[in-house]
Amino acid sequence: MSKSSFSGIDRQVFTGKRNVKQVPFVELFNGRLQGVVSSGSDIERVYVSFFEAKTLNFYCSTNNNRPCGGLGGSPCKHLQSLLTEAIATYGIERVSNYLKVPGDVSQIQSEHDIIGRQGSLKKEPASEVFSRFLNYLRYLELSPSNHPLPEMTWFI
Amino acid sequence: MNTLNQLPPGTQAALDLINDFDQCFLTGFANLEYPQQQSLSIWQQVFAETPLQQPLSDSCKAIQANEFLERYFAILAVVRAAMQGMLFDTLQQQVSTLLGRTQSEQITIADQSGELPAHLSVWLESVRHWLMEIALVGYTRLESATLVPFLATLEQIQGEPLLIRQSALLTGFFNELIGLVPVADTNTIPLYRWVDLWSQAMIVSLQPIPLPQPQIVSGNLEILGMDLRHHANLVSFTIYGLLSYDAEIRLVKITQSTYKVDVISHEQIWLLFPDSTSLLEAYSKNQVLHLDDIPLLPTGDLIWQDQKAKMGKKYDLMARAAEFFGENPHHSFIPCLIPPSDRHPIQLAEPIFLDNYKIVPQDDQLVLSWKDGDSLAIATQRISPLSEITQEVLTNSSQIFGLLRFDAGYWAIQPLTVTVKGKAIFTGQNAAKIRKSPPKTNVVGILQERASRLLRKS
Repeated sequence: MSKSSFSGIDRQVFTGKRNVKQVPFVELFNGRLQGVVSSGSDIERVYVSFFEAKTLNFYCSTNNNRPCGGLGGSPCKHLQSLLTEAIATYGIERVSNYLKVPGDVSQIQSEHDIIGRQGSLKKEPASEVFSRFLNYLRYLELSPSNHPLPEMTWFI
Repeated sequence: MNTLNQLPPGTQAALDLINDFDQCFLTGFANLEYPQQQSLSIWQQVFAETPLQQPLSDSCKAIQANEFLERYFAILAVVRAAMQGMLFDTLQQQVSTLLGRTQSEQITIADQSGELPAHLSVWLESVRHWLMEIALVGYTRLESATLVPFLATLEQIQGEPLLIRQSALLTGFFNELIGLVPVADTNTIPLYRWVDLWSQAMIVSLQPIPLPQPQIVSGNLEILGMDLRHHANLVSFTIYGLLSYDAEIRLVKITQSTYKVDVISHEQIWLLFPDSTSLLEAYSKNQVLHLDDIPLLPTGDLIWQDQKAKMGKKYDLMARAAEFFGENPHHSFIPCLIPPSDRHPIQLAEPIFLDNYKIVPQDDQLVLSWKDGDSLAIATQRISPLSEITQEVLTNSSQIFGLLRFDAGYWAIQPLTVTVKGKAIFTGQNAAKIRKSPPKTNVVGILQERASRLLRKS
């Protein structure tokens, strides 16, 4: 049996409807669901939010590290939007698997089921996620190329 | 086509050798056990009396004595690539003989790299070091802790246009690894693919790869099809066409690539190619392009310059494909050439025109079948999910122009253009239309606006 150079390739193309204006950045990275949510009132301000895998601990602050006023003991509207957009991007199954949501996974059908299993507030600096976001935006400013690119034959 | 289904002698044996070799990457070279050590010693026998004999034997000895240096792992990548290169040559010979086509003359690419800017060498060294760490740990035990620190190097490489090949590959490879490790079930590791990507990454990180010296040509270009490839952060298309110049006709390729982010998919990818306006418009309308002084590499790659192309009259795409690439062709052409360092069966791409077939679903596949008992699978795994060529289009097709491809131990056709009810349908057909009237929710525009606001500020 011969192996394929394409086995295991992630052919998932994003299909859900994303609100990029409200949540310009969302990713599953290094044990967290994290992203950036626009402020409703100030175009210069963004909120940096994350949920941690396993514990479902969470936090939300501005990119200048001011804690989000909407955070009580539970996730604010930014964290809820982040979760909604993550599900639109990756699907509920992949999000709940990645977050290793505790309890019966078959019962997790919407963001409310994940929020309902929330952990506790965990204060972390916004800089790491924010610089991931800047780096994400930087992709759109990198130079295009007109040279042969045989390495892309591996990616479809 | 049945002759294609009988692989040249030795092909399967070579593929089996590669499978055995790859097991080392599952365990990790720091933890090799008896079966993997056996595979390495068989590989040393295979390369006996070749220029690679000594380096391979030195590397295996050193690694088994826990002496871990990048250059030993570079040699492992080189021998695996040499085996793939041998397979490429054998299979290219098989298909050229079958189709009665001559192969291109060899070219040598002069090393023009000269003295590298020092920072490039440092970055590439850091890539090789990272690849060695992956090989030492092995895919079974690989965790994000080995991956995340590499991001700093990767970001530098992405910003350097000279390293686009390295960047395209490493970014895709990194994304794939970070999304899947730690792997809970070893059986789900795409081992062959991941060792392929590892080896290619090591090879292209030995030194920056110079372009061969181009000649400047003028002539007429008729585009016949497009191969569209992408991962989350890059989209690249290669156009295949016929270039007539100096009383010769040659098959040429044009590649355009641009970085992107994951949410830019579907038709919006076409908004990302500002330097391909005439190219994509002429293609979607099947109009000839008159080229004036464009660089052509000896490999058959044109270095595209959109402002040097003018639209000409219409041509019949499928009729041209049939004349050159069908049975008993009316014309001959100069083929493209894959440089020796890139030879891997995945790069085989022999253009062919097929008709008078029936499409038969077989297991998970679509297979072309002819009255005389010949058959050929369709390489559906090579068709981008963003392509206009869907399963339904294929099922209703009467003619296919595409590329003969080899993967997983068999030949198959990757369709680039198909005829359905007398009309040509091809990948990238709608690109020009989308560029003229972009969708209302323009994700590219929204993110670019954000980027210019935030990146300028910081």
